Parts: sequence; C-alpha cells; structure tokens
Amino acid sequence: MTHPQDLGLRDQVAGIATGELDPHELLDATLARIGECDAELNSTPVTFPKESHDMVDRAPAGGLHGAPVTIKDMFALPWRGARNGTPIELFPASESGAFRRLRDAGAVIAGVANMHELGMGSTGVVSAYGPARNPCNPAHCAGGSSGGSAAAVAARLVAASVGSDSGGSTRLPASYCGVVGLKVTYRSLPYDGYFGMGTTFSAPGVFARDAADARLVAEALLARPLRAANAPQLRVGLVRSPFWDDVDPTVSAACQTALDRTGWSLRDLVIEHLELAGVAAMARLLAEAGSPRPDVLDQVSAGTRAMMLAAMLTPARVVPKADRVRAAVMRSVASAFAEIDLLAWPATAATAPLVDDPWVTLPSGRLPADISNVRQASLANLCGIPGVSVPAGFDPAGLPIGLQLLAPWGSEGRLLDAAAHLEVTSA
Amino acid sequence: MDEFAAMARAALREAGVAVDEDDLPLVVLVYQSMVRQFAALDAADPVRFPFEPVDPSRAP
Repeated sequence: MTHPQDLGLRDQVAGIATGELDPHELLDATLARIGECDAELNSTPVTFPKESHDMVDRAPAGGLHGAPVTIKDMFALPWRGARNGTPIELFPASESGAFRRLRDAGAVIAGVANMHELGMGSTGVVSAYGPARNPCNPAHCAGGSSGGSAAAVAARLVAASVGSDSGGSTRLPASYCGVVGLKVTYRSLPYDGYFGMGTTFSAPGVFARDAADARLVAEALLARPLRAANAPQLRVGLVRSPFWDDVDPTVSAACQTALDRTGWSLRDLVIEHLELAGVAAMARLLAEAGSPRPDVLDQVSAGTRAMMLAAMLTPARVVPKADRVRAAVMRSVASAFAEIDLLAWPATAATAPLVDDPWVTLPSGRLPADISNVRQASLANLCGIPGVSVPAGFDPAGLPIGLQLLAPWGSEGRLLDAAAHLEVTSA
Repeated sequence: MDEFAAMARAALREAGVAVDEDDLPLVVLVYQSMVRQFAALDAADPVRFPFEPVDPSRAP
C-alpha cells in the first residue's frame, strides 16, 4: 500500500476532499514517517502532535484542507515561538502572518523545520538542532538556511514546507535537495511573527516536489490566485558573467541543456551595475543583521558570533552608498524585464558540498560554498523580486542540480508556469 | 590588529556588548574581508548612482 506521503500535495488534498484519505490518519502517518526516517536527516527536529491534530479538527475548507506541512523555525506559531536555529526563543509564540495564511487555507502544521543558525549560512550545517542533511546523500549538506524544509520535502516526510529567503535560503537548499523552491516577492504577505521582518531582503519561500504543488502553497501564502503565463513562449535572459562563468561545468551544462529543451527564446543579457550588486547586498545585509539581542550572541556558534560582531561594526558610510547602488540595480533589472520575461542561471554554482567540508571547487578556485551561493542568489533579494529553483538533473555522484529563474515583482505565477514547463520538457 | 581590536572593543562596548578576547581574531578576519569589498562602494560615483528611495516590494 502507498504511504500517503508518497503522494504529492495535490493528491493528498484531493484524497481528503473525496474521503479517500482521513486527515487525522494522514497526519499520524506523516508524524510516524518523520519519527522513523528523520533521525539521520535532522530536517524536522520538533513536532507537536496535539496541536497538529487540533489544527485538523479546526481546519477550514481551503486549497490545503487537511494537508500536513512543516514551517521553518523562523516563524512564530501560537504554541511555540521562533528560535531561528538557536537554543532560545527569539520571537514569542503568536500567530505569525505565514501561519495565519496556511491555517486559513486549511493546512496543518506538522513540525518545525531545521535551519542554519540565525539564517546566516547557506549550508545548513550550523544549527542548535545539529546539521540538516541531504536525502540524496546524508554526508552532504541539505543547504540553508531553510535546509530542513528542503530535506523534508525531498525525503517525502511532508509534501510541502514553508521556509524563507534572505540571500537564497529557499532557492539554494531546493537546488541541493532536488525540489522546487520558490521565493516570493518581498513583503507580499504579512510579516508579523516572522524573523525576516527585520531585513529588507527576506521573503518567505515555498518548497514542494513539483511546480503545481508549489503553486497550491504559494496561492495560500499570498492569498490570491496566481496568474497563468504562456509558458511555452517565454523570452529568457542569460546573464553569463558571473552567474554562468564561474560555475562547475557539470552544473552549467545541465542547466543549459534544460533551457535548450524548453523551446524558449534565449538571449545573453548584461545587467548594468551588476558588478556592484554583490557588495551592495552584503553591506546592507550586514548593517541590518548588526542589531542582535545581546543574549543571542552568547547562544550562537563562534563563527556566527564573529559575523554578528563584525556586522555591528559595519561603517555607516557604506549603507547609503549601498542603497544608491541598490536603486540603480533595481532600475537595470526592471529595464531588463521590459525586454525579457525571465532571467536564468544555475541556482548554485556546484552541487551540495560535504557537511564536514562545506567548500566547493569552481573555475575560480576552491572557496566556501556560502560565497558562491550568495553570489548566485542575492540579486533577487537585493531587488525584492521572486525566484525559483527548479530541478535540472544530477551530477555524476547523484547530487541534484537546480536551475534558477527570476521574474518581475509579483510574477510568481509566471515562475511556476515556467517551472512546470521545464518539468515537462526535461522529463 | 591591536589598533583594530581596541576600536572594536570600544565600539561594541558602546553598543552594550562585551567582547570575548577569543572572538576577536575571527571578528578581525570577517571585518577585514568586508572592508576590502566596501572599497568598491566608496569608489562608486555618486553622480552615476543618485539617491532614490528604495522599495524592494515593487518595481522602481
């Protein structure tokens, strides 16, 4: 007999609607699978069966009625505050905006997803819960900071999860784990009870096994239907430098092949001022991160603490300079979208590195995965635009490769239609 | 290192944070890497990059 978590989200919701699946039994089967299979992956370190069953009892009719999902440790729940991958509660228990949107769509929160400590890493190896590991090979990273969400979906512990993305934290782990990961437009849903509310870079994200399931969750989070695009006839801009050039050749070849099969109109594109986008993002992110609660510093790892302390020393003069560059880059990106529908490049420059050695080897040399990951991802956060990582094959070691697509503000529907088209043409 | 460490200690103390001496070498490493990159922002021509309000929730 098929385990209900081997069904996708759409099939779970349909099964509940027809009475073929009982939502309490689905939840029990989900919690049992997490208990049986997650010891090695460490994707979902916290569950709360009573509160989850209470949600089933009260679940309203909606697009996710009765479906169990997990949510990153960055969002407050009514019975548990957000810890952000640390040992202490950073946000008190409350109904965060994301929680309300999921609950109102009928979803059931089955557990809290592991994450990189304070969201300050793209590998997921540093967390109060221990590292999140990759279901394709547990010696490798699940990614970060929403690594627990990506790993849980890839391992079929849940069909969907909600994470967040301040510098790639949804798209990067989705790429590492071989699932769809959608970052929504900045501030496109209520941010109360969400740790990312303290930055101008962060947006919630959706993880699912395919684009259609991601759409169900995104429509719930955004509380609106997502408009369809003419997916077979999109115009796509490829920004070669640095996003395609300094990439593991296996990764760039897989992403290019996936694009070539789509039938889309592909053209190389230059985005003006892009050479300053990375440093502008870093300056702004550091300045925004540099105001931690003092008690947090005593509770985090030495590496995270050093980053926080250095962030507190960010020279004030660079912040308005970063903002001027940010405004110019946003204008350049908006101009590009007047001529094309999507931007595309590899979501990560290499596949998931080892948990014990989270570095990657690229044409430019060997470097921490965090550096190349943020480089590939941060333009979307700097501009506030939505982005998605779509599976685009595997490397010779069997580790997933992700293709990243970016779209104009509010165009999540276009991204998911494009992702669905890629799924068909890559099959 | 000594000069920077003294500055870092003082600045962080002012922010209400007592820095452990064991943390300082790593803080220096991260900070120096940041500062090297900030040189590119310092060199950006303000005429080429005029001030504009930034709202990442929508197209400019």
